[in-house]
Amino acid sequence: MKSKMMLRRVFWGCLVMAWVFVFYSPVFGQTSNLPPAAEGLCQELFNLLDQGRLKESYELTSPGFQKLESRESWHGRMISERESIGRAQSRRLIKVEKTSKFADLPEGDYLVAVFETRFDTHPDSVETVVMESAGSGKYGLVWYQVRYNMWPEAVAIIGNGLLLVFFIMSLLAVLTWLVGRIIQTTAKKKAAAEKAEKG
Amino acid sequence: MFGIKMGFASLTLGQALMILVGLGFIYLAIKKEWEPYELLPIGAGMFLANLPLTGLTTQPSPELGPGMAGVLGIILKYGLYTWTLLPQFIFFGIGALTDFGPLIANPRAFLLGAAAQIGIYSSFAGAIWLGFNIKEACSIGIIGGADGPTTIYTTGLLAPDILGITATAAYSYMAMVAIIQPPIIRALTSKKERQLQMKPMLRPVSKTEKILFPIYASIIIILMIPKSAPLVGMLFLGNLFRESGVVDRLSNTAQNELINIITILLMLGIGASMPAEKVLHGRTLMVLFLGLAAFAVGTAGGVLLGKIMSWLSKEPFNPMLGAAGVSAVPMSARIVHHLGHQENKKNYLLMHAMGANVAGVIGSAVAGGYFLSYFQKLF
Repeated sequence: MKSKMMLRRVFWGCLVMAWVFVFYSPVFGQTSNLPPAAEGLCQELFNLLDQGRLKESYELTSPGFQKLESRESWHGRMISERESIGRAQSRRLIKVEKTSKFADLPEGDYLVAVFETRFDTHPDSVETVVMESAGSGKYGLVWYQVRYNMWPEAVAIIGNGLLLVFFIMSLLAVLTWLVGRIIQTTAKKKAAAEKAEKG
Repeated sequence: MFGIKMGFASLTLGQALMILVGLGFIYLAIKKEWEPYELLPIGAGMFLANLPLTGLTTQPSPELGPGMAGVLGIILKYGLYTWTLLPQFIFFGIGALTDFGPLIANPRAFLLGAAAQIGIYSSFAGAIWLGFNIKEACSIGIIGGADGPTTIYTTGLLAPDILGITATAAYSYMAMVAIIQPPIIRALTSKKERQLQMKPMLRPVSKTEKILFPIYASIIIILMIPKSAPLVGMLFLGNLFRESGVVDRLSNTAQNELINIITILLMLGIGASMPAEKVLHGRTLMVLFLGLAAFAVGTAGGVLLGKIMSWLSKEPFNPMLGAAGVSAVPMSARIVHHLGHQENKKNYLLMHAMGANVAGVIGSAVAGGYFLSYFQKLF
């Protein structure tokens, strides 16, 4: 009876510890399915992006990819992906797959790594890193993308944007009407005064 | 052959297709006269940019030696992506060309110009739903403002990768106002509403009002949305030149030579920003569809507010005026006038519609400025 209870405690203890381990895992979590070179590349990329060194991440792209995309264009894309979402608090590898076709990239041997990431501003994000083999066990980066639930932010933009457009346009309408009235009244008074003077 | 590397072997299927699209634009501009001032140079830029081995679109960078950058690359980099000078100067010219008199005489039209911006936000939501990121969604939504320079300026800063396609969509839909707007207007209004006759003339607007308007309007808008300054500031500066009456030479230059030169550079740049690899994928079709939807919803938004205003107004108020709130100047105002005149031969809506139309220009610049201000930490 006692040993059964002990076993139960051990079981629950392990479960809690496992949960704590997963929840508080370091920024780079499970990567066991990735080849070491690819894992190293992802780590290097995440370090740069988390530190805001977006332009430098171009150095990690494969030479073949660099012929397709310029440093400026890559930098612009990284700004668009990462600028507004802050640093990663935790990151967990959830999927690794090999594919020959990915998005607009030309056909090739790609390794796709998908991470579940908690960012400062978006706790439920998914990061996708696509790499291609650069020979002798090395990998080069060809794609990086973050996706998160954008609806709360989008709803705020729509609400605030519409409100602001209507507010400004209404304000201008009132002001224009008011200025018109003042100028018309002044002109009428002036005309009346001139008429009276002549009369 | 002949000791040089020719382009035939390097021409890809995608490039060939884009060259055909460019030639199609040139055909539409010349044969159908669809926005020829825009579509002709866009088409030319498109086919030049897609001819292989030319280096025309190579952008200047520190790694390149002198003379290595192409003319279209220089226009793209300094005119559209890095300095974004060209759309701002187009706004300057538009300001010099615009008479805000009809709007000043009938300030209610400001509200119609606001309502027509609903299309921007509906397509923004649609773009998010289809998986575009927030900045791309802003750039796609702004097509609904039916304002080329605002679309170009906003997209150039937020999502340069889709600049060519959003700008082309904006200008193409502006060219198709006569096809897009009438069915929407007819669907949302009754014959009786379309026949509503308004006073043919608006009150005369004094020179003082016309001079004061660009000053106070720009101060208010820019104080509230500082990032709208490049567009709104230039628009009202051009207008102040026009209305002041003391700098006729400058105003004439802004209305003619300057806007013509900038139009050539801007439209060539837009065409050149569409190499095959950036355009030929499914996302382009989505952008085109969302842009069309933005335009249609904007028209509907304007007409629906027009109906409310018509219901509230003591004097006859034709709800079709709302459709002119999209800023396709002056085409949508003409469409409204034409439809009104078709239904009632005594109806002359042009000046009323022009008020809503120029309000739309301000409304779309405000909406674009809001998007840019939202991401202001970038600049």
